[in-house]
Amino acid sequence: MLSVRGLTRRYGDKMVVDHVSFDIPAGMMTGFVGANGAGKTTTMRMIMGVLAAQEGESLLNGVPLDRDARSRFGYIPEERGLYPEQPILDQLGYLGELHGLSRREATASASELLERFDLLDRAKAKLDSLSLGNQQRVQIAAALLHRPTALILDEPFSGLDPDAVDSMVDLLRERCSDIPILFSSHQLDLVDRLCDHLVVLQGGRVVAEGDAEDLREGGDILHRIVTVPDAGWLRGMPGVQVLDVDGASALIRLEDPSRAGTIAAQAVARGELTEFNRILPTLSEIFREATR
Amino acid sequence: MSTQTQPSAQPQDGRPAGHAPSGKDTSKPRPPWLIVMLHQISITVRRKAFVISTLVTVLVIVGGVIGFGVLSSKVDKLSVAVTSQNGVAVVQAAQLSGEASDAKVELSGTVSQNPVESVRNGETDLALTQEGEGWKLTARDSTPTTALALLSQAVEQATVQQKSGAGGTAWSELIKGSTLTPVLLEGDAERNGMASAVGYVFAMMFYLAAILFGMPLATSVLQEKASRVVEILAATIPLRQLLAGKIAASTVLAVFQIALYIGAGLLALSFSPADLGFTGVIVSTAGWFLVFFLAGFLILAAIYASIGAMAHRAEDLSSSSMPVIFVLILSLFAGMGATGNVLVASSFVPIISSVTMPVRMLQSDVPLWQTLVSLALSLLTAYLLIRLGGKVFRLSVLHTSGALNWKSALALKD
Repeated sequence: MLSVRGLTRRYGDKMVVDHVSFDIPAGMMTGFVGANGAGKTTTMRMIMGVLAAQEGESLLNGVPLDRDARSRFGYIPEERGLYPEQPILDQLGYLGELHGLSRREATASASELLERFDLLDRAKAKLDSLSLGNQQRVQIAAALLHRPTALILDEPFSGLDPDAVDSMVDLLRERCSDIPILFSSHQLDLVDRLCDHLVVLQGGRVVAEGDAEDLREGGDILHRIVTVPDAGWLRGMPGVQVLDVDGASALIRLEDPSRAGTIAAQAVARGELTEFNRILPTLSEIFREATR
Repeated sequence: MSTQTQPSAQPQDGRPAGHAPSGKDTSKPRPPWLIVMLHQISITVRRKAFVISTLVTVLVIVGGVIGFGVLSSKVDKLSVAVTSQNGVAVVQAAQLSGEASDAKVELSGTVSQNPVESVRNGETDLALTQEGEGWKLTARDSTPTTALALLSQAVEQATVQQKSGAGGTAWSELIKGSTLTPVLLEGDAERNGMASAVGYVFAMMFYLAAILFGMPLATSVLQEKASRVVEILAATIPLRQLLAGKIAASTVLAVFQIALYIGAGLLALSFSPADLGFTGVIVSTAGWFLVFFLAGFLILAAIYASIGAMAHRAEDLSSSSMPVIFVLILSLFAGMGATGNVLVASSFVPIISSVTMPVRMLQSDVPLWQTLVSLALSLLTAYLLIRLGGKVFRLSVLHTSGALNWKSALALKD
């Protein structure tokens, strides 16, 4: 598990990251969301040691990170970054060597990843001759080629079409199934679909953190109910807050979940109950709620 | 556990922190700066422009030296003033053996009352005189080596013949008094002329190397910053190792190129039919020049790398490198024109000393301690500037919102 404890960074008087603490469990995809300027990139840079933390520290399995430990992480920075005018395999081999692989290991690992991305026949091509999507794949290969002990990915999926995102996620789940992965994204629906754990940042502070399931469960308990002919009667029920009603359909919030049975019985008694569902909030909704 | 599909030995996932990567390849991992240096060198030498320009320069140097030699190797007509008909006979003997060995020199002897004076006032090129226990060959400002060799041989033969006729015995006794010593009337002027010519070459080489390697180094640092690959590098290795590797690569390539050029020039010189005096001085000074070049180039490389780190766009490079170019041009002029105390003083100023100290060594014999002090000053400056450059690099690399100057770069915080 990768843990962040009290990371803090100010630029002048401006507090950008304010004593941020959260965990990135191993074997899970941890989504890192927040509006622009919430401090995601600064936090990730501090985890990677690219930016010095003014307070706080990052730990892997309880051990504070040093350069040696970080050099085995995989990192995709916010603004990407590879050599546009160098052949792909060349630069991947170089980066692999810097990460501690031998030249041979680095080239073998890079070739394998390129093959997986159907890019092996372009291995000698310059990076900037590739499409943006393929450049992004090479970027991900650069983060994975040394079999990292943790992954810090700043907006790794931007610029990828949905199919490419899926194949990338498959790759991450396959190759990195037991290491901590932190990825930030603006695409909340994507985060919703991919992450097992969520950290929500706002104004440099963590406003929500937890396993995705727990966060969903921990929110308001909402139900969608359809009772023919009309759902208006729900307004009078004690312990029920009607959020929306449209003819036979209504969205309600139960103050006490155990009241669900009573509501169902009432509906059956009054007419016909055609639908009664628990509605879990999407992570986007949790995000909006948390950052409201 | 991850699925390992490739046959190569990859380190396992989830290695605990602090363990070195393990694999079949057990060779010790190279230090990062060495990896950076080798990568930079391999990129540069694979560039067509680099290979072609290097080859063209070697060809120009070799062609120039040989061409100069051929032009100046037309048959040299030299008149030799002697005191007697005996002397004329010696000169004729030298001329005959010269013809036999196809030497590019034509010697003619003339009798003169005062042979040395006739050289001084330009009536003859050389004066052959017997003085005490030996012979002297006097020339105005340079001794033609072929003529010296031929005349030495002829003097020796004449002496031996004369003595054997007188009934001498031992060989050592026979050749006694047959040594021919070259004498120059204006030796220092010649040496100065050679010094300024070679100094000009050194100055140009230093200037060109700085321009040819300095700007690309700054550009390469800027590109790493602009393409943000530096962020991945910064997360992987210490940035001063990156900087050291890049400076080392430029220096190795520049020194290699200069050594290649000097080597090609000297090799061509040795095949050249022309006589160039002071070859020994040039060779030994060329070695020192290479050492001073290395020290001066390290300083420039550190400055150029810092300029690249502080720049925001390629346009910033030209303006921020102006002061460096100014110092370079100063060293160019100092190498070509400085004399006296200015030259001595400038031979202790880092960067400029890379040109002026070798020039001084060409002109006269510089005490070794002065050479070493000047070199030490250069190396110390290089060390300090590389450290400073490392700091500037580390501080400005994440600064992406505009160009920095030295002051603002050093004011940045980690």
